[in-house]
Amino acid sequence: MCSRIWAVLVAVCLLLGSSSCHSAAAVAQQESYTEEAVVQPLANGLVLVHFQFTQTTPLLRHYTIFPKAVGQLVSASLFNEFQLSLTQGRWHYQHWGQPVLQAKPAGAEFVAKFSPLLPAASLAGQWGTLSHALGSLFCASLNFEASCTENLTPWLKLLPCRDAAGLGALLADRRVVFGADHHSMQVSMIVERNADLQPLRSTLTQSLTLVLRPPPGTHPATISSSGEARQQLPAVLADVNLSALLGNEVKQACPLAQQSRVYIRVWLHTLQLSIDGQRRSLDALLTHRHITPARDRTRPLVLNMCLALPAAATTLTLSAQFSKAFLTVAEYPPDAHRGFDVPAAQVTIGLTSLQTSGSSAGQQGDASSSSSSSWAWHVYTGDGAEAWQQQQLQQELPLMQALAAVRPVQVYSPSLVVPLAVPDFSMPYNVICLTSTVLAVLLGAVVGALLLRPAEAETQAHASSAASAAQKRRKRAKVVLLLAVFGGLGLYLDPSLQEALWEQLTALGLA
Amino acid sequence: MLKTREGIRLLQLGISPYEGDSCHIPPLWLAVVAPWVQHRVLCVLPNMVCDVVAAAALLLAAAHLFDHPAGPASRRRDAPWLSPQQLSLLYLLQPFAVLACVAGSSTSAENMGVLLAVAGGVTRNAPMAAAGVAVGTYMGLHPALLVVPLLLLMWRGPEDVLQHVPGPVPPVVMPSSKHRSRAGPSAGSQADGSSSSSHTTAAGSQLQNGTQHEQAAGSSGAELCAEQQRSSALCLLFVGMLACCAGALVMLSDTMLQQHSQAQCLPAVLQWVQRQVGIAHSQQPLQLQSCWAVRVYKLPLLLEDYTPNIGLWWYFFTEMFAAFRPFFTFVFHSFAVVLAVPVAIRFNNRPLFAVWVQLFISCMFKPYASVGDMVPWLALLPLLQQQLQCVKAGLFFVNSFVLLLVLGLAMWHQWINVDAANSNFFYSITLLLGVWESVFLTHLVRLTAQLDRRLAGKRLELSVDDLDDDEDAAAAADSAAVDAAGKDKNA
Repeated sequence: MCSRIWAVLVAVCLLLGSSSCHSAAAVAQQESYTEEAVVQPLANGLVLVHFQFTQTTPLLRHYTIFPKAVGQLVSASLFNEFQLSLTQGRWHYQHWGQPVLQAKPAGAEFVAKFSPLLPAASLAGQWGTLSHALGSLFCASLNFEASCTENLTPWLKLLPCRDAAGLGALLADRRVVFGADHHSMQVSMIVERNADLQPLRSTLTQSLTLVLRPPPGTHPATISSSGEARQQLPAVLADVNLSALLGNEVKQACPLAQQSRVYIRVWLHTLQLSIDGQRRSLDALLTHRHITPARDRTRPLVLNMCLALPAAATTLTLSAQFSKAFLTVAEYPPDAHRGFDVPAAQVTIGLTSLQTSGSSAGQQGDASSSSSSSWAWHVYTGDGAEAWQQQQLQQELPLMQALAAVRPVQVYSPSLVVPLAVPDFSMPYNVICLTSTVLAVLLGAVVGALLLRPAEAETQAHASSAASAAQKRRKRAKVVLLLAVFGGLGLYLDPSLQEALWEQLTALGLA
Repeated sequence: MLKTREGIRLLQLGISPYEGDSCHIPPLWLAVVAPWVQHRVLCVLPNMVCDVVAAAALLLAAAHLFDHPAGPASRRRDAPWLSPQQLSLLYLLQPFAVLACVAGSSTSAENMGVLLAVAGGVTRNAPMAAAGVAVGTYMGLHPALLVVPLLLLMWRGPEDVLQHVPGPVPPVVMPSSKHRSRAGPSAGSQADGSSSSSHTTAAGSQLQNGTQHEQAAGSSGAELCAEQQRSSALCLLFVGMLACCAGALVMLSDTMLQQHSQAQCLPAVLQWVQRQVGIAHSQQPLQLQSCWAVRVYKLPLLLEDYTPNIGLWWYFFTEMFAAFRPFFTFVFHSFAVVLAVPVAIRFNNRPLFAVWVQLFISCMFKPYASVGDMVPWLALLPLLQQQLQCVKAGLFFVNSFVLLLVLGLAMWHQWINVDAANSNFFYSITLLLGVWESVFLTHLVRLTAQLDRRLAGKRLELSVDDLDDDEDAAAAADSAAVDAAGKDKNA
């Protein structure tokens, strides 16, 4: 495990209640909203800022602060948990160490867990509903997505105060947010349901992780709330106005294509493992595996492998060969020569149990779990007084809980952009014409050669006039038959021709 | 060999190879290759064995053709260009066969099946022919179309490929006067420069290329009947053995896939039948979708993958819009199928040539054509020496073929590896290859038709003056036919 650089950790924490301005105060008190932010200086002078906004509600409708759009999702799709992250930029583990919370891969990552009470056949529909709804909510297609302004605005809209007040106000300057070296916005939701799959309690957690460059002249070690790189930080001193509760609009789900494509074909028989530069046998170290082979245009290859590594291992290399796929012209994106994004791989280190990554049970790490004693608290009480306090963990603060929880370390590999061999998109008409010509010529020539009977021509030339008269009659009959067949076909296919014929017949008095 | 290795690895990992789309190799081929797959050189041992068996089958067929000719023994025959041993050696050294073997492709097994079928048909050995067709169809679907010409071959026996073909009868200019026209045709029939009149009449007495049937036509009716009975029994045996072999292959494959019951074929068929009849439960998903036969054969039938090859399909369907895809898939498949029966009808006196044409057409219209698919018809081409000695532009054909192959490699490299050209360069080569193949096929078919005429002693071409005098020419033709018939009776 890499050692971490813990300098001064400053936490700005606001604990807000939601009882200030709603008439149904008793009901409203069951909803809660928490804003937290963590600032961590990294190596190279960069600064990590991590915001987390947590809202919970026990209600089905008539929310006060809980965003209605997300609340409607709870009843529309019967999920237990989902996590969506939209990330731009890689987390450089070598330079920045381990992130405060798990870093996400570049692009979009969407994980959902559904209730085991749901029938298996309905899962695809539930997944589709959920992903469509979230995609429309965050203006993301969830296919190949790098996070951009269009995604941040609806994300901010879910906050009770948007970017007008509270910590969200710090995010008002989009240039700073999207100019960050690494920025990742995440939405996750946990719904507790009863046996009838009715929601009992919903928790929405939004978090935003930014890696920023402080402007020159600012010492990272003395970062305080007023000296932050982001000039908007003094805005945090503005009052948080909870009365400005916003109603959220529900956006209709866009009909999106739900295809997961296979742009590359990974050859499993070429999967090789090297530990510290030495080839090792993969089968010997594999304890558990779950492989779902890829089906073209239906599902991607999913490789879940659990490896037991020797304790002294420092470098692990897994490599596999792949072939690039060839697609039809309709399946290429608008910029076909850019290539296709291959999602990042996820490595979870330190699982002792068989549980998949994402659960926080069982952990064998040392520096990843932080002890609460290294946290320093900076509590802003809203009336201008600042105080540094050493406090015990307050159980109501979800971010602090998440930070202090033991959890396995998850690392994402970089995602790839794979350029595929591209056909010529301007050629459909030409290709169809040329190939059809060749095939027609082939068939015509071969059938003509098969039917070639020069002897018949000779005997016909020598035939008697009576025979030739019979032949002429046959030819005339053939012409009539052809006309009748094609005329009938034309009449059958063309309604205007039918009308014309009908008119003629009525004019003649026959119909 | 990539797909084979992938399938074997998936089997080792305990996953059905047909779960995903990375393996479309039939199960028995995976089982045959699996023991050798780790070795660097011996991984292609099954391919080498297949090639050797195919060469042995070719040897058998050629020996039978050269030594047991159909037709009367007194017929004049040419010497073969290549002895059977040379022919089989040439097969083993054929560059495309070597390429297919070295690449470890399953085409070697398909070619072995095809050549076994041809050998069985030529020697009228129904079990061998049925086994060959079954193996060929199992590996790739197109050898199934050989059933039609093979039935013809078993019914009639092969033609005499070494029969001497008299030189071309020069066209006779018929004079316009009535008097000389009577003597015209008969004089023309005797004006054959290369052969005497006895040859001409002897050739003329055999209106068709002799087969065992025509030989028996001169003899008693009982022998004819027995011959026909034997042929029909042979054909029925062939069909029956084919069904048995196909069933055996399917059952063996299912046995191999015992651990992956969702990939087995026979239970899936049973389930489908039960559902159609109405017996079984309908909430289980249809297993037919995931059985190995559907997964293996769906790829060439529905053309789901657009990997470029030397055939015409891939670019056509890459550029095709999705709505028209089913129709054109049907059209392309029908090209391969539709010519089987007409060729067999037209060349019913030349069954071996009908087999060759069908092999050629299968090669042209395979969805995923490769140079290994050209091996069967190239192997049988030296047997068509009657046609080949009349080919006029042989040098052109050979050179253009070699040029197209070299250019095809170059254009592929330019597009895929170097990215200096685009796909149209390679597509043009496939188009030209299609044109070459159609020209070659048409040329050979025409030559065969002319061959038949020449063997029957008829003139090949009609001259312009022939069409002037209808009535006189008709009378002259009648008299000439009477003369010829008289000479037949005398001969």
